[in-house]
This record gives sequence, C-alpha cells and structure tokens, in this order.
Amino acid sequence: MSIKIRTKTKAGITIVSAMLRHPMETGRRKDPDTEELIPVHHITEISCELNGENVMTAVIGAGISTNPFFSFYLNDTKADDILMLSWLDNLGNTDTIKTALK
Amino acid sequence: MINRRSLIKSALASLTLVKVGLFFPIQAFAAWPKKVFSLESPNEALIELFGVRRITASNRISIEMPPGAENGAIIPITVKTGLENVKSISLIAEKNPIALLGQFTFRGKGNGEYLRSRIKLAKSSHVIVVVESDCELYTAKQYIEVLKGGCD
Repeated sequence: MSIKIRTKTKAGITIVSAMLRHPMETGRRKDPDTEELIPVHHITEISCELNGENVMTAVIGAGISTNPFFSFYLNDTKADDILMLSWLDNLGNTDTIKTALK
Repeated sequence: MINRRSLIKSALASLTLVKVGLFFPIQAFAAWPKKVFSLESPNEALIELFGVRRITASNRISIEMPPGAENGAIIPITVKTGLENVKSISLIAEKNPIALLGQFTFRGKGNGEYLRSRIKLAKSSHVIVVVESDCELYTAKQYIEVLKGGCD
C-alpha cells in the first residue's frame, strides 16, 4: 500500500492529485478460484493537512474505485508549505505521506 | 543495575510512543459514519447525512462524467461549482447497493469548488451530488449508462 501525490501551483492556487493504492473490496466480490466472498476491505477516511491544519477530510465507502484517485484545489499556498495526506481503512491499516509544495 | 536497565526500558518505551504518534496520526480521523454507509436508498442516505434540511436543485453545480461506461468499476467524475464557501461535496449513486460513495469536507485553505475522483456504479443510473455552501444545501444530478456493473 502506498500513496502517490502530485501538486502543481500557479499564482498561489495548488491542485493536489492523490492516488492511494488500495483494493477497495466491497465484500460482494467472489474469489474466482475458491468461489468464496472476498471480505470487505476499503479505505474509510482520508485526511489532508496543510502546515498542520486540516484542509480536507473525506469519509468514503467501497463505492470509490480501486486505488482511489482524487484531486482538489488549495487556496493561498506558497512554496515550502507542507502538505500531509493520510488514510485509514476498515481494518485499521493506515498510511501517510508528507511533501513540500514547490 | 536493575534501576538503570528499567530506566533505559522506559525511555525506549516512551520513544516508541512518540514515534507511533508521529507516523500514525489516528487522531486526525473522526469516526467513520457506519450507518449512512449501510443505506441503499439515496433519500435515506440524505436524511442520515443532513436530517430534514431543505436541498435545492442548482444549476451552479456541474457534473462531468462520460455519457456511458462499459465497465462500471472505474468511472471518472468531476464536480465543479460556482457556489461560494463550499463546506462539503457528497457523491451519491442512485442504484448502488450502498448509496453514499463519499463525502468530502473542506476547511481553511481547502477549496471545495472542484473535486475529481473515480467511482463504481452497479447499473445505469443518476449520480447525485450535494454541495453544502454558506450553510445551504444544493444538488444536481447526471445520468450515465453503465454496461457492466462495477460493484461486485
């Protein structure tokens, strides 16, 4: 599991694009070999902070595609601002990435 | 000797605690709203999310999706809105086993006027978007044809 994050800043507006590696299992899919249901396993929460302040929180279900992708904008950013993105899944797994804006 | 050893042990233990706290910021997460993510009906999901608040149809929300998708498992969606002070964007599927796809909440420098993601749809249906702006709720919807369901 990993997080890929890309940012692009123009005139103080930053677009953040993130791709989280995760199976996002709905619990309704059958293993093609064993015919058994694959248990529910998906990210439940995403949190994004800029310089330690929360700017975006998401609560999601398995209706977000495998390897969740999302992008959104930040206002009034400057070079060297620290962006942190974390996720938590229904099994308690978590991952975090930190990056400085250019 | 024993004293020194236990001292080192407790020092190490507290170091580990600090490390866990730094790298796993669980406290950044609120509780996941389990109930709303069990509801199949979009209306019930909306009531669970927003109570009985009025939701007004708005032409200031645009939903960009392809008109049709062969595979419902990966459908790109872009939401743009000219509404100001956007607090949250909720994505709801009309005919999925679980209606709520996700709710994105913006604070401070987080700008809620644009959101792009990828969603799963079980069948041809509307995708409903609800935007909370200046303490009011606005909605728009967009239909998409899906050939192969993406929710299994």
